[in-house]
Amino acid sequence: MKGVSQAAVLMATPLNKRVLTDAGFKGSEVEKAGPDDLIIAIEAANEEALESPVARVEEMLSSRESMKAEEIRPRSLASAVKVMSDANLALISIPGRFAKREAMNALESGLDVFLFSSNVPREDEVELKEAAKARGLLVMGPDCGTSIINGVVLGFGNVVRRGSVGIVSASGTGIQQVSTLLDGEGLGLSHAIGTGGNDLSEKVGGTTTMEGIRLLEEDEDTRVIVLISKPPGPKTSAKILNAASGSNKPVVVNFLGEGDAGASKQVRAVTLEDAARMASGFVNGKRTGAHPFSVSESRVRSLAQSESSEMSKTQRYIRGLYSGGTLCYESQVVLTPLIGEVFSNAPLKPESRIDDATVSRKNACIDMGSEEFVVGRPHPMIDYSLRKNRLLQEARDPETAVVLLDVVLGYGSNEDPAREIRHTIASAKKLAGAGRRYLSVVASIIGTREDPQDLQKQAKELASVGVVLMPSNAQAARFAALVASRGAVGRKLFGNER
Amino acid sequence: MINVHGFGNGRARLSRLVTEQKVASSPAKRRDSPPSTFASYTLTATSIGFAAANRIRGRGAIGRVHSIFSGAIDVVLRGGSMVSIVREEVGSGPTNIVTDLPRKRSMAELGVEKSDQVLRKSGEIRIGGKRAVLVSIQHARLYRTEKEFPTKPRSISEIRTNVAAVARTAASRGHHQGLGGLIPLLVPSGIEKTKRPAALNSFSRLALPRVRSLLSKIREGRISDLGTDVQNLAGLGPGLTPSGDDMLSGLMASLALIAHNLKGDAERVRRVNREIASSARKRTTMLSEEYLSQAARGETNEHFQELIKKMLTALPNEAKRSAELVLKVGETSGTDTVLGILLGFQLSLDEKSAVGVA
Repeated sequence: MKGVSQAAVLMATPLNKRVLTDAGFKGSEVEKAGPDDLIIAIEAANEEALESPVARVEEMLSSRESMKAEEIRPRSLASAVKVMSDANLALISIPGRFAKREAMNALESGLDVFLFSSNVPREDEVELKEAAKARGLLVMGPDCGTSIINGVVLGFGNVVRRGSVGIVSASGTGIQQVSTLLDGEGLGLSHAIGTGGNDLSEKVGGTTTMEGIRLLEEDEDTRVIVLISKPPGPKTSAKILNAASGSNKPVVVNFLGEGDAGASKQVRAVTLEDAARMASGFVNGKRTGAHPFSVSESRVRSLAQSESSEMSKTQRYIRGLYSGGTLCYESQVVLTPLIGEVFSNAPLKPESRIDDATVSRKNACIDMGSEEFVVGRPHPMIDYSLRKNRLLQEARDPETAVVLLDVVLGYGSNEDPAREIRHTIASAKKLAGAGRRYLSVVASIIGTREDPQDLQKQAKELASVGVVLMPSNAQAARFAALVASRGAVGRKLFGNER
Repeated sequence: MINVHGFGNGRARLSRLVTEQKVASSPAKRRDSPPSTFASYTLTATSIGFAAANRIRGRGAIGRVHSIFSGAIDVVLRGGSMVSIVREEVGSGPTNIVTDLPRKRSMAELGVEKSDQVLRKSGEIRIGGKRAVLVSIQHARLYRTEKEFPTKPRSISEIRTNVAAVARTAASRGHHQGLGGLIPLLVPSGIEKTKRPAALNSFSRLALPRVRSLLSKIREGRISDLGTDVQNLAGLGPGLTPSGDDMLSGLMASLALIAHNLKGDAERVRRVNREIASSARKRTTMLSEEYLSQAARGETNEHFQELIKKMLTALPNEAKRSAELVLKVGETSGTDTVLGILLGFQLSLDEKSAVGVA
């Protein structure tokens, strides 16, 4: 400032007074001031030069802001509504036992709800969904990981194109896999409505799924509807299938693992990959047949041969380490008919439940996002540390032939998963090598080119440490089976079309 | 809260998906403060710090207004302690009563004046005479610093990575008019140690030898010798809570919370903190003294607590994001507190330190 040689605004504590005195600001006013007084000290050439800095200090004192407006963190739903009065959706992520009250407040305020919280009692879920239905609102969740509404990603999700496929899904990673595969085909989503993992249980009865189908049915932008879930109970399944068959739009039903059947407008997809392919067929008006791999049989066989050529005889089993629960389930759906029983902490059948999820047994697929692993830790899509340790553990096991991984990109996931895990993969391969074994690591990346993590960079870095990358989770599982069986499942895969 | 209308291409709207009539017929309900015929303004408290709740227990006149800022009205209570009635963005803290005063309104515009009487009635606080401000505390949530974090702490080497990430963030994005300029000099983080004392501001230059001395005494367990260094730091620097105090608060809060969560020598940390807080007495402002005495017990503002928690339990990027938020608190307070927190981590993770947990 013109004419001002030095200036200080300080509380008049003994130390600050000493600093001021040393700087030449002396006098009885400084001496008399106590610690709770504010000293404004300005050295100026003349009285006139003082005006501007004094005015500035006064302005600063009267408008002192400690944080910028856009960083306000409302403390209650009521104050949040005050900050953003045109909001129409509340995203709730608080401990499950408190979730009902907040979700109910949101519904009473006329807001749709995305309920990320898990461990919400089933009866609370039923009550919330009924309350929402009565108000013409939607409760996505509880335990809802992903929704994409009007291109806005809620929870974990990928940057996918806008388009004409609408999804209603009880599974977050199900939405992610199908939407990224569609994006890879140049297609996009109108909306993806997450329902929460329990929506299709007999107790909840598919309230949000039914509502989701109805909304997509009414939505002009949606031309094809995809339903994704693990197989529901028989009553709910019948109800949903009935609603689907009554739809005016083509509906692809993917109750994972349940076979192909149905009328022309309602097809059943066994895997997530099938669901994406079938939806794509409806959009493009040409239905294509299923192929086990995107590339030719000879190329796949030769790659599998080179992966298994240096394996020792003891290496027989596949070990899937998953961050996505539905991806883990889909792999079991793919693997079981090829290699027989697959043990898991989230098995297809109760008798295949693994006793101790921290130690693999024979062929195993472990959902590392299940509660036993994530209590007190971030989800494995974010925090790779448990999977890294487990990868090394599997590498030490002389029976491990292939480690199967999912690498999920998108909002909410780890910011650079390849960098996070590549050194561990290299170490795991080295560890196996020290035991005269070759460890095959097969992965699929669930992501799009527009995801913040840079899909190509991720793929390049993983490939640089010898990871075989497949274009979908289902193909990764099939390839793992081909490698672990030394090509023996080839006949099942290539002998006839699935 | 998300306004989904505002995103995307603007053509497709969630309202179309989730029924048109919802938006038209069910506007979000607001819970505005009830109008009062006696008060010029009625505020609703959303949270009240544990210490504040204890201090305003009495009935009738409980204290007087000490100072007024746009974001806070500080009240000195009869026994000499303080509470602050604050706007929401200041955040919950041990002595804070957080209200719903809209951000565009300043506490200084409510008609409250210095030395106005503060009365406690059932369920509310009344400030001033005829044109009083009422603060309804009936529905306020009780805030207490979460001392034991529910998430498991990460390994020592992972915590060190978090410390380095936060130090780098504070060095590049902090406000260094106070003591924040010392971060690259004092915290090992991979930051180039190019900043020479000559490039430091006068407060940092003065503080540097004293902070170094304080740290080495804590490291060596010379608790009774801490007084001189503390007295040469308390009340030093810019800010309504001077920089030196913010740094000391961050140091004490982090020492306490780390010892609690990593099973360190909590008793020794208590003694260190008691010595620091008592040595700072009469050397600084009333408000600072209050914060220092709370920090000595590991009680701190929610933003600072969250940063310490993230540094102990989360991934580097989360810790970094939390630090970015803290660095925006006040003019220099956030940065100065982060300096103290980093020093607390440095001492705690030092194998040879008397307060070490490694």
